[in-house]
Amino acid sequence: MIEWDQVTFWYHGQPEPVLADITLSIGEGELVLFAGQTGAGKSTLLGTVNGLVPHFTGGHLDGVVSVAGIPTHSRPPREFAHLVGVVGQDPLAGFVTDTVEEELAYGMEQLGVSPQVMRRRVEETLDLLGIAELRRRALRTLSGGQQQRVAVGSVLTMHPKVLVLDEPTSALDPTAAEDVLATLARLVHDLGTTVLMAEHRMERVVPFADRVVYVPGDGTVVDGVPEQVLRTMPVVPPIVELGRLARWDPLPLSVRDARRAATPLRADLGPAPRRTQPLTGPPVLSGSGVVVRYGPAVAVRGVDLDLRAGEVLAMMGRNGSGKSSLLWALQGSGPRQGGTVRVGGVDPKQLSSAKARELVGLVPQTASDLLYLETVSGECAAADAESGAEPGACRALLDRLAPGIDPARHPRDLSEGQRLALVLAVQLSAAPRVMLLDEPTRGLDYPAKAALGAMIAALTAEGRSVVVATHDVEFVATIADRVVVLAEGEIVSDGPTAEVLGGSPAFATQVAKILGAEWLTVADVAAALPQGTR
Amino acid sequence: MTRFAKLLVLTAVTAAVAAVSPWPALAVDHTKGQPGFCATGTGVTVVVDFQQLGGTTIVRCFPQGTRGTGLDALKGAGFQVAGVARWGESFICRVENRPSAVEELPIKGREHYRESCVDTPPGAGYWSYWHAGNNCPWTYSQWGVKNRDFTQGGFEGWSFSLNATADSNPVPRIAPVRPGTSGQPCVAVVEPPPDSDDPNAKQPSPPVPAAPVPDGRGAAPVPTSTAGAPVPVPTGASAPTSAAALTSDPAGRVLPPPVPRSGSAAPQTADPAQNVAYTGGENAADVNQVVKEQSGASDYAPWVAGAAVVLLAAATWLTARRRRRARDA
Amino acid sequence: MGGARTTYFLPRDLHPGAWWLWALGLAVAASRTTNPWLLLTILAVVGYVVVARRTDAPWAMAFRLYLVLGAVIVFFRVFFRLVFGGAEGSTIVLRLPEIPLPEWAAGIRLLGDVSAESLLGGFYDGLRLATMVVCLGAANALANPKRLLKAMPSALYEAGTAVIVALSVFPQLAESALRVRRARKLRGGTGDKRFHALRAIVIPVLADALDRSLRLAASMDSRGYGRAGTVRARTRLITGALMVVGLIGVCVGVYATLDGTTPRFLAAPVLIGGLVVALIGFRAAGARVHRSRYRPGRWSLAEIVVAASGVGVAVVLFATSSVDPTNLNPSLIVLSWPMLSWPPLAGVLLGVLPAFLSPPPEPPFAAALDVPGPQIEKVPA
Repeated sequence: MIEWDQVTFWYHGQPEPVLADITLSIGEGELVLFAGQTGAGKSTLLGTVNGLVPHFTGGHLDGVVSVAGIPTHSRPPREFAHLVGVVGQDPLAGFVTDTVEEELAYGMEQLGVSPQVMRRRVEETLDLLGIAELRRRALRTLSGGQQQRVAVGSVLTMHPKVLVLDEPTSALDPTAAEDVLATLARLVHDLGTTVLMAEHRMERVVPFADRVVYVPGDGTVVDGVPEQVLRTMPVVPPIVELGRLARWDPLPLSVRDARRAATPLRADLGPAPRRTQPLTGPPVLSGSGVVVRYGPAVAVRGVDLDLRAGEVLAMMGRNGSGKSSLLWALQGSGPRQGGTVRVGGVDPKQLSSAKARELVGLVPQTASDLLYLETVSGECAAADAESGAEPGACRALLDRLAPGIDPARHPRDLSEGQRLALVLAVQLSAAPRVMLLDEPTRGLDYPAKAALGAMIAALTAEGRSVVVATHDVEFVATIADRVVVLAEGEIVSDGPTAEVLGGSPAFATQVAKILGAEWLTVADVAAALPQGTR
Repeated sequence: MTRFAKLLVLTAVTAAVAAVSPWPALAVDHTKGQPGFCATGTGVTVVVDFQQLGGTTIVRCFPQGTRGTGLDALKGAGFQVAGVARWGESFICRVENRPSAVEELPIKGREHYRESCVDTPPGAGYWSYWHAGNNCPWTYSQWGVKNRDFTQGGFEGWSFSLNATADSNPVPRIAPVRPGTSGQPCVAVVEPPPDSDDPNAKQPSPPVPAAPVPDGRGAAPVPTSTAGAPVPVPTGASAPTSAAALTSDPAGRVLPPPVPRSGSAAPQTADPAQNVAYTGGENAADVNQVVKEQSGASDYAPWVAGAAVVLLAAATWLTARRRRRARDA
Repeated sequence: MGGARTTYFLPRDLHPGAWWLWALGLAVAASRTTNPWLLLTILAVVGYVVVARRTDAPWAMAFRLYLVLGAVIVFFRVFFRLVFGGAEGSTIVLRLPEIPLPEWAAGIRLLGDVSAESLLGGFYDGLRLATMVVCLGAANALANPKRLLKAMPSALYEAGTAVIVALSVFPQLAESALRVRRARKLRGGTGDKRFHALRAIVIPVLADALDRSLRLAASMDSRGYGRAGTVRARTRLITGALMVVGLIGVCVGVYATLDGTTPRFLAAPVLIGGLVVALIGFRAAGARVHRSRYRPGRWSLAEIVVAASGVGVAVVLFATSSVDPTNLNPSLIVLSWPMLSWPPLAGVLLGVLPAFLSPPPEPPFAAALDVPGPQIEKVPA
């Protein structure tokens, strides 16, 4: 169905080619998973399928990419619309119309399909994706998962032969991601379309992937069946890591397989390691009875929170539970209609924003909102000026957090993880004692998350406290000392990580699902294995 | 109170007020001015000659002894006038509702022309404005009706000019001679022409009456080409006013006046015996009544309109309430 | 017979063109008259039809903004008459001191005596303009403007799409700007120089908008937008010229029709000629395009009734203006209640028919309302 024949691609002005001499072939009806770090070339490779690369993005393509026998260089991407459907990361940015129904019909309108056929296909797709009750809703008002499903549907109505999904769940929270991936799984079984998917949450997709293509980042690809490729891939989901650690053969790819293979391992394991002791000492930040309202809607309802020096607190809860509002209220820049917040005896809301950020720093959800200059060094210089720090402080911080960033680069050209590091350095240049991070893991892949974890560990080593609002359970299990769960503006549970995550199936990590509630991460398992088998 | 309830109340109050206040207006307002010529040298006589529009010429007196503009004289004599919408009363387009909104004028090039009084009337069909001192010939006015003062004891003339050129505007067919003063010398008035294009420029302080001239020669008309000025452009050559400069030869005889070069003014004073029939406007029909009949207006239509507005407002409010309830349910 | 009536009155959304024709007919009728009775009746008619037949979508609820705008227009007209030129008439109601102006402003008069006639003239004028604005607002409230764009002829499809996309950009820009402004505080925003602060807000917003528009373009390209097939340049030139000439003719014809003082040959003949040429151009351009419409709006009897009532109002007012022009522009010379005759009043009341003779809108569909989702935290996805 899709053939890459000695394909090389590079952007004008870049010495290194993004794709170097790739030869690949994908048959009809296969589901292929593309894995690799962000920026390694997965998106470019997927973009060559319908011709967006090079017609839309520019650059130079050598070799031939052909879909159903038609080479992509012969026609613009719009002539491939009936063959290839593309779904991107941000569904809202790709919507052309207002309502769900019209969005589903849009592609068919461009293809000139007759109205009766359009009606029929729209109804079928609504049923297939389970969005029938949303048909008249405005697209802006849907949740992330619903939006992504509509985006998939809008492409499916054209009945393409190939479906290309470029990180469809990376901007979604876990529940929405589950939604979308389950839908896709069903689709693959029912429809038999050729599906090419690039996805970080590999563990959900791998069970029904026919092949995995790993893009290391040097221009080549490694292609093979999942067991083979995952065995040697550097960054893998915890299941595979555990499998490698326990030397399971064949490598289990899903939780159920892993559970079956885990019985002997459980026998070998010693007692579960104790996690860090809860910290004692006077609280660095204490909020009591915090209330945040937006008109008639109450976002945070009388929350009490204490934070100690050197502590990492994870705030979890579904969208709309009040996490962001609480963080903004604690920092002092957000509305707070009731309750008190004290940082070192001072209420940050009473201070000017320049003074408040020396007490509590916040990295918002869209970190790039804070960046407005043209170079990394410019941002750092501005940050030093704003914080009254000595010149070079921010630069030094950045080098510690994310080494190897070229100071002359434009901030928008950095990867997600690097941009996050830059914003973190900018906020840290004011030397606050408390650092708040609002959803930093959104859009990050495993290596970037590991780097973020290391950054946070460095901060706590200096004695600062960190609060992270996130959905990512694996991340929380790795770095957090304490977990607070919010629902509808109130705290539902508050306790050490092992307690909160261990008890509930919704917050179970993969390792916990395999081995039981007292094992949260692979590192725990590795620590408990007898010396010889490590 | 909700919006629509307020609207309802407002409409009801307006309707109630409407019932109470009559604001009638008669044509030829008989409370102003007197019919016929002015008897004495106080005030000014206003002559309205319909010419080809048809209708009896009306002559009325405005007896005010103090100064006033031409418009004051016209309105003060009791005539009902209408100015154009664009310039207001600076340009009179209807006198005694002539030409009315339904009347068709046979203007050259625009047959079936109707005067809607929105913008300046065309040069082929407009009310021309004349003035004269007692026993003097009619002079085409170079100043607008609001920009000059009337002459005490003199005459103000209005003559409808249809399809006439700048040189041939019809003179009012009533001689500007007060009864009992015929044969007296003309007390000519020097009115310097306007020297700028400003439509708001006023004539300088009251014109000085010059020495009497036997044959009476008013100033020849000077073209006033003010853009947008209310006076349509006559194209006569300019001629200086010279009535004041009277030369007399050493023997003391008065030299005959210079022959006029051009202009619409008749060099001779008209003979009162050649006046057309005129009235004092006593029996003029009520302009507003006439207009009402012409337009087919009905006394009840405004009431019905008001009632419709009130009804619709009430219905709107009720429907809005009903739909809001249905939506919230 | 009962069955046909039930089908006729089945709740549905009418073709947007029908409502626009109705509203434009009323606006054209309002432009012909300054008689306050007629204008108030038009306003009442429009208000009732809007409240009776609008849908529950939020853009439909914006009608009261147009009413406010109309009130503002009337207020300003009267206010300017008060300040700049108020003594046209004999009934002086206010004696304000006149403010002398320097020589170069000699033609302007500030304050001074204010007469009732001039205030009333300003009121009539303002009321006419306000009525026209409210008629257009009614069209917006009754017919989804985006559906109207969809109903455009195929030749204007690209322009319509550009407008639709542009309309959705503004709320996004606004949201983006709010977010960035909030984030500025995190960097100690206050105390910055003005230019710096502006730059710090404008650059992220624009960069965001650029990113988003690139992604939108890629998405539309992948879904086949612009797949009209190849057309020869010469054909495109001819159809383009036809459309432009036709549209110019329509503009000139409309202006000449509405303005009474332009020569008559510019009015009806040029309007009709322009329409014909434009339609030929549209047809020619549209024939090349292979695009279909999902759920195209149909013109059925109800649409024709609605459009005809609006056009009928305009026709009646045009006819009465040539037969009896007096009452359409009441004179301000003598202060009296404006007169009114039956034919124009009957014509205006004709415009209320759509409230009774058109099918009601779809009943409130709970999920169709803009129920704000998880927006308390403004989580982007």
